[in-house]
Amino acid sequence: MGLNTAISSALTGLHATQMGLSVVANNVANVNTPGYIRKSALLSNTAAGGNGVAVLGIGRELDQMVQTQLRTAVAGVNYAGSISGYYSRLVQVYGAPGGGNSLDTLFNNFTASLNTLTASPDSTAAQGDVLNQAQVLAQQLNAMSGDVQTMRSQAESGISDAVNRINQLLQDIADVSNQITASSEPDAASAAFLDRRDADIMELAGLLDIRVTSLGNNRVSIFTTSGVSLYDGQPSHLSFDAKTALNASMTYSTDPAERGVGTISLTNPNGGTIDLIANNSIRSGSLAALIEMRDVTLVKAQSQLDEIANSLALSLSNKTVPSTAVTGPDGFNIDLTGLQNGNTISLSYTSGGTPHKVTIVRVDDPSVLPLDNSQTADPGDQVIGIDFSGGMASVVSQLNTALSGDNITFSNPGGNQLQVVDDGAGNTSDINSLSASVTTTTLQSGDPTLPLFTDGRSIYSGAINAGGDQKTGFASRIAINPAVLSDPSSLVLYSSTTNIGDSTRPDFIYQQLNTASQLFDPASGIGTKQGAYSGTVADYIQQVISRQGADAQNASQLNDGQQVVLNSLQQRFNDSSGVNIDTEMSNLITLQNAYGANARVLTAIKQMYDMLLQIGN
Amino acid sequence: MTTISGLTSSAFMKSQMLVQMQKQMSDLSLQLSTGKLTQNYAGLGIDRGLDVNVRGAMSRLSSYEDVISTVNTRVQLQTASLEQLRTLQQDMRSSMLPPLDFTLTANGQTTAQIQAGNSFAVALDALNQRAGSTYLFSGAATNTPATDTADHIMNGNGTAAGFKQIVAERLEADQGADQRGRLDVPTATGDSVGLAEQNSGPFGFKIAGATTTIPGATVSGPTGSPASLSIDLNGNNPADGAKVIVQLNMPDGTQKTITLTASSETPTPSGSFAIGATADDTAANIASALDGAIQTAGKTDLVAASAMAASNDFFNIDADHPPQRVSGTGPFYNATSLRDATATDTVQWYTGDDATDDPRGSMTARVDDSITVGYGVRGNEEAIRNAVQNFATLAVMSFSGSDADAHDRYVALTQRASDNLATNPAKQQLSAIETQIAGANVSANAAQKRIDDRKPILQGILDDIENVDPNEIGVKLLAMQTQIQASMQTTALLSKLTLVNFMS
Repeated sequence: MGLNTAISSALTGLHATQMGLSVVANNVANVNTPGYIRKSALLSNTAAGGNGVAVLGIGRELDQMVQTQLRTAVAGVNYAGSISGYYSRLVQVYGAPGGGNSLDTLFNNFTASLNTLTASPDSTAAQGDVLNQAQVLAQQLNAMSGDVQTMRSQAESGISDAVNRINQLLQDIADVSNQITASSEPDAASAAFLDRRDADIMELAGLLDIRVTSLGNNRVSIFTTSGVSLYDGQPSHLSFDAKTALNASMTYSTDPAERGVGTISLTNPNGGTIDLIANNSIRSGSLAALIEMRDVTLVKAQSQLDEIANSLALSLSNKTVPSTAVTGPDGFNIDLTGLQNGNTISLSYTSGGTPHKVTIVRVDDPSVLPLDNSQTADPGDQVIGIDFSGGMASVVSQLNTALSGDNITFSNPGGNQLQVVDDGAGNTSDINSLSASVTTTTLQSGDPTLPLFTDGRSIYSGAINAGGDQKTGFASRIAINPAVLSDPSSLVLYSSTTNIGDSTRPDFIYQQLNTASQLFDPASGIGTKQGAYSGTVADYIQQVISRQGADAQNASQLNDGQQVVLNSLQQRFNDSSGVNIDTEMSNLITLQNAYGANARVLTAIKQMYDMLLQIGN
Repeated sequence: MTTISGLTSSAFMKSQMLVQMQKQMSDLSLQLSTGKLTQNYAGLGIDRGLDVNVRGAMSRLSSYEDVISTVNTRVQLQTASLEQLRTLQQDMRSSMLPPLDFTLTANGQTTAQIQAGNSFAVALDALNQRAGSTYLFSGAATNTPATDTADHIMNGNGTAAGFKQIVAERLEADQGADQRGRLDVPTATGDSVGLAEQNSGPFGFKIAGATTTIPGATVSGPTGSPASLSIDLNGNNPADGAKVIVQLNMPDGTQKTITLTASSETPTPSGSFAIGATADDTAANIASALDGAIQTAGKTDLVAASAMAASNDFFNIDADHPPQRVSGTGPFYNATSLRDATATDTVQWYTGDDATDDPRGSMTARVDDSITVGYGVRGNEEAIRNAVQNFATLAVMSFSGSDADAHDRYVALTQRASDNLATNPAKQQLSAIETQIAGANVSANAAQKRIDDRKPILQGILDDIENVDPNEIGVKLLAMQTQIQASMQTTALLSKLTLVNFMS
């Protein structure tokens, strides 16, 4: 060990402090750079010659534990944020409490105008007012439906954007990873690449829920939390077949033929593909929020509007057709003239001591059969779809086949009559009741029912067609019967001999909306399959508004909660891995001192050499 | 350990915190300026269901209020009209109280009759009263006047016959060509007096019966169809004062009693028959006196009764009962039946809703969630029709000063009209209609009171849910302001407390 060794040690010290200074400078410069991880110079006393200090490289002060938690939290907060954002817009669709455009105000105005009409049926002003209010209500449903579908379209294009971004990120991650593995030394460049990759992964984590596995040598592989590989040395590729201008009948289905919206398919580097939506592989992040909005929340909002439109139309237009009793064997006979596609026949009978409740639904296309029990809101009934296109003989034979074994017999005594009788002397079955709900199609049918609301210009009967149910998206098409618009007095005149002062029809309409209780389809999210929501149309509208308000509030609260979690994690992450100016400054002072000390060592050695040389002089 | 943010947190997070507070501040100031807690249903919290429900209830209450005010107006107008009818009816009766004034004016009518004609027109006006565009006495046919015009009703409209013609036709059918009220001339066969109806259907006199105080004499009948009866003296010649009494039913349901008294005076006084030498002679005298009495009744009581029957035929109509006309073609002396009139051949005096169900139900209004009141009135209801038809019947007749029977006929007419217009518990009264519609109004007003009570409560609930107390918001705003100031100051202070500032 000589002075030369000391000089070289001091020089390595100077070099190390310079390096430390450059790290501090870099840290301070990046104090507010998102995703920047605090760097530190990695020092070792085992320099090449065994003396002095060696700079091994640039280290990243990364708390991987917190980073992992942060990635999960980012997915959660992005999910909650997107959901909450959509909900806050959705709730606007329902208007301000008591506001002129809120659904309940418009409905209340409509029924109030009806009550006025009940008191003054002859008043053309009152008739006109009812039509105006009904028109405004129908148009509001159209507009709300449009808003909901616009949001679905926006979610669809949001998904498309997110998928594109995911592909970019995965490609970037792949590129950066190649750079990192190329530079095996932990130098400044590789630290920057790692920062960049972490930033990419963090952004990816915001889009969908991911799991990152470190493989050593700074290599990572990325999976969704459901286990689908996104990056494993090579990026997978996501593709999305976006559809434009969604409407209510364009919904998600695992059957590609019925799917009206886009789906995300992932192609892995080996060429295998997987449908991420069908496999429910995306569970959090803004992408999951967009998919949930598009396929669940907004679809439910639409089906609530459709349910409102459906009950508005049918409660006013459907009349109950009674049956007449027949004897020997006992049963009932009903005239099905006027039964429309989607109309129902209710049959109640007892067979072998077991009560049965059957709802027979008319369809005109055998391809939609068999119908699901959920076709009616009533949880207690058995739904039987019957194709009426083949005439009454075919109807009777379909019914006898469907209910064979219950000891009841259907027949057609003539015309459109349907007769059902028990087994007579066998006495194992009894028919309890038979009635039908038939949509009135004309204005002066002699019955107070009125097809006031129509599907565009055609009669609405809740028809079931191969192309989909008439109910789907009805809220976007509901309109006032043009025939009523051109003759407002038909709000009162239910037959050619009705007096214009007769309040029967306005009163009927008022009662149907305000006091007649009915069951609502639980598919809309209100009520359950076992206990369908039962109430008036007015009640149901209140439920819908209430539910939407509550959902929006919950989403907002969830978002706030997630935000708190994210903030505290972010705080911890910043504390452990972010740049702290004070720390850097104290490092700076230390480095300054160290530099000064090293310089001082050099100066001392120089002086010693000088002294040595002077001895020589 | 509590993490103190500030020094260690990044500038972004500090600014985000401040932004959050600023947003709360602007929310509060929006609440202060609008007075509303929120601008959407999400912000209402747990009470949003109640809010929507209460709004629905408030809207219904408002619509009930409108309806109640409509009902009030209409019932008031209806009551005014009914009051007017009642006054007309009472005044008409007063004018016919004895002593009866039978002074004929230029057109052959008494002042009471002219009053009846005016009352008839005024009554029709009252029935065609409208509230806005709604006729109040047409039942459910609120866009149609309750009645035709007075002129059409009386005089007909083109080919459609009016009341005058109906009365004239019915009179022909009731009187017969010989004005004996469709009775054959009484006959005397031996000592037996015979009286027989012609084949006259519902018209003319109907023999109700006869009695006599002549000792030994017997009455047989009325029997057969057409009915006939005979009074047999059985060889007994009556003494002075013995009576023969014949009762005849008339078309309006009244009865004419002809009383003939045996008399030996010369000349035989009116209302008597001469006692002949034999029972056979006396029988001939009875027959002749009876014939005279029948002819007189045929020109007096029967005329009034026929007019009353005609007024019933013409005015007592509803959906199931069209006006009745004498069948056949005129002259109708031999008519035997009535027929349903058609709208083209006969004026329908009542043009409103003529259904036969409860008239109150023809106009209804919902004044509360579960209360519907009925206040409809139809002009053809018994009490109203009765007034109108008696006014018309009084007004339809005219008299000639030279007609010896005119006075008696007038008396017969006014007696009947006066009876019909009198309060009769067996018939519907105008006051009954008034009471019923007033009842509807009372229900409506009671509902209004409930609404008055309920509205402030509901409004209170809404205010509690939707509104904010400006004082509370003011305090919150101040607190928030202080908080933001403190945060900003602290942030500023903390940012100064960095080592950078202390290095040189």
